[in-house]
Amino acid sequence: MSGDAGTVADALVGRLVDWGVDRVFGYAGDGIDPLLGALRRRRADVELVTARHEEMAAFMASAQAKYGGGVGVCLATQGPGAVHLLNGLYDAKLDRRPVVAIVGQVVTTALGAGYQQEVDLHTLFKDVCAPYLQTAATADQIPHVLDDAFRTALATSSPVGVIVPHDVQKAEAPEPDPHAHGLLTTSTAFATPRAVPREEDLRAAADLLAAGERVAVLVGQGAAGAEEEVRQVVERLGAGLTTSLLGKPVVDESLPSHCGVMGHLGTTASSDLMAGCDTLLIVGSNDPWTEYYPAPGQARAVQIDLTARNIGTKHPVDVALVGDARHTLDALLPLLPAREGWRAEVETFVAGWREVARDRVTQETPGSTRSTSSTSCQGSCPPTRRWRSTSAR
Amino acid sequence: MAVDVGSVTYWYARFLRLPTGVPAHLSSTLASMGSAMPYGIAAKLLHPGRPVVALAGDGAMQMNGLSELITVADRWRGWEDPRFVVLVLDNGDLAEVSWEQREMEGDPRFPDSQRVPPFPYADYARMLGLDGIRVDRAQDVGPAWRAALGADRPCVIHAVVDPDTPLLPPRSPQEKVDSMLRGLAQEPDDGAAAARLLHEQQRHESPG
Repeated sequence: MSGDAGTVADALVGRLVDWGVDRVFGYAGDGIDPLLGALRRRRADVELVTARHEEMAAFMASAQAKYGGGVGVCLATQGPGAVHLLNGLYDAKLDRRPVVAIVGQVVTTALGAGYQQEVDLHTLFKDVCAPYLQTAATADQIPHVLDDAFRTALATSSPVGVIVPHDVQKAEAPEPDPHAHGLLTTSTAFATPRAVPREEDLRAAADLLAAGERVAVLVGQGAAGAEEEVRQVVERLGAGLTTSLLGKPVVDESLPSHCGVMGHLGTTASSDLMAGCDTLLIVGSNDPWTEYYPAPGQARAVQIDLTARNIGTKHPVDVALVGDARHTLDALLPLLPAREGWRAEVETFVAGWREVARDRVTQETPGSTRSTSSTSCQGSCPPTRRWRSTSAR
Repeated sequence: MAVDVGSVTYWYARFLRLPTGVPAHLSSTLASMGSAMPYGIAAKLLHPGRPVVALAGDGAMQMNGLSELITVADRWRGWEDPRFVVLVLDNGDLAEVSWEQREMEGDPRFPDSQRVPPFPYADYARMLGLDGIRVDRAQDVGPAWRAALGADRPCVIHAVVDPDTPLLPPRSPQEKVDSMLRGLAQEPDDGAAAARLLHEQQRHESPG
C-alpha cells in the first residue's frame, strides 16, 4: 500500500462505490489480493459475497441484474478463477444483462513467459465480453477503464471485462482528474432514453394490427414494466397472449386470454394461438423456438424491441417498431380500434389447456411410489440404480 | 423464484402460476444447469425480507446446488426473512435429455449417461443446520410446503418423482411421438410404463 491516495486497487473499489455497487460476488486468489485488500478497507460500503466456485459468483452477478439490482459485479483471480467465470458470464450475455467482471492477471513483467497461472485472458473473454474487454496496463487507466466498462455494460445490456494485472493493482493510485494529452478524466454519468418509434412506423403497425382478425401477442422479458399496456392492447384487439420463457413473469397468467408459455416446454393453448393467428405482435421477445411461431407466410407481424438488431431475427416481420415496450405500446394504443377479435376462441384454448394441465398434474405415475434412494443408502448404494426394474407395474 | 434448467423448467413454465409481483428468473437462453441456487442467493441478498423458492432437479443440485447450499447455511442467520425453500425434484435421471434422446434421436435412454446417483438431499440440509423434508407420497406435498414456508430457517424439500413422466411438447406431431415410442421400446420392459403415460398425455390433448 502506498501513500494517502492508496493503490490502484483502492481507486478501483472506490469507483465501484461511485457506481452504486454495494455487493461484489467473488472468490479469492492471490492474483487479486490487492483488490481484496481494497475491499477490506471499504467493507462498510461494499460487501464481498463469496460463492463456492467462481462460476456461481458469475451466476449471482447475472442474477443480481435480473432481479433488478443493477449491474452485477463479479471478481475472480487470474488463470483458473477467470476460466471458472465463463459460464455465468455467458448466461448474462445470452439473456442480455449488464455484468462487470473484474479479473486479476499475472504481473506485467511476467506476461508472455508461460508464467504460473498465466492464461491469455483477452482470448478467453473475447467472445463473452465482446462489447468491452480491457486490461489496465497502467495505473492511469483507472478509473476510465472501469467507467467505460460500466457504461458499456449498461448501454448494451452485456457482460464486460476489466483485467487488472497484480502489479497494476498494487501500484500507487493515479492523481485524480488529470488534464493532459493521453490522459482521461471520466465520470459515472449514465442515462437511457425514452425510446418511441416514428409516427409513420406506429401508424403502419396500427394499420397492420387493425387489418388482422386473429391477433396473437407474444411477450418477452423486454415487456417487463409494461404489463398494463400489454393487457390493454390484448383487450383492445380481442387478441390472445402468450409469452416466451423469459416473459412468463411479465403478465398475470390468470387472465382468460393468457395462453401461457410458448414453445417446446409450453402449453397447448400457446400452440393453438400461434397455429390459428393471422397477425402477430411481438413485444420485447427474441424467443428462439422458431418452429413454435406461426409458419412463415401465415401471419403478418409487428415487432417491438428496444434493440433494432433484434427485429426479425427469429420470425419474418413486416413492421419494425424500435422503442421501449411501455412507451411504444402507449403510443400505439390510441391508434388501435376496439374490437372483439377472436377473444371467445382464445378463451377456449385457455380453458382447454387448463383441463390438460389438470389431467397432467393428477396423472398417476406408477413409479412414483418406488423408493429412489437415498436416505438409507449410506455405504450400501448399488453401483447402478435400477430405476426401472423397481417400479411397481 | 429461482429456477433451474431441465425437466423442472417444463413444470415451472407450464404449471406454476406466479402470484402477481413475484419475480422469477432462470438461465433461459444459455439454458445452463445450475442456475437455481446462485440465482436464489442473489435474490435473497437483494430482498432479504422476502421468501425465496428455488426449483431444481437432482442433476443441478449435484452439479453445484449442494455446494451453494453451504453458502445458504453460512448466511441465513443474517436474513430478515430466513425462508429459502429449495425444492429438489429427484427422479434419478437427467430427464429432459433422456426424453430428448427419445424424441429427437429415436434412441433409448442411455443409462450410463443419464443416471443421477442417489443422494440424501434432506438429510444433507439437516446436517447443515437447515430443515429438510423428504416427500415420496402425493398427499405429503401440501404439508411439506406448509412446513417449509412456515419454517424459521431455509428448508430443502426432497421430492421423489418419476422419471417416466413424459415431457410431451404441446400438439406434438405424431412422428415426434412415434420417435419417443421407438426409443422407449428399446428400453427395459419395453419402456411400457412411460409409453402408457405418453399415450395418456396425448389423450389429454384431444379429449372426446
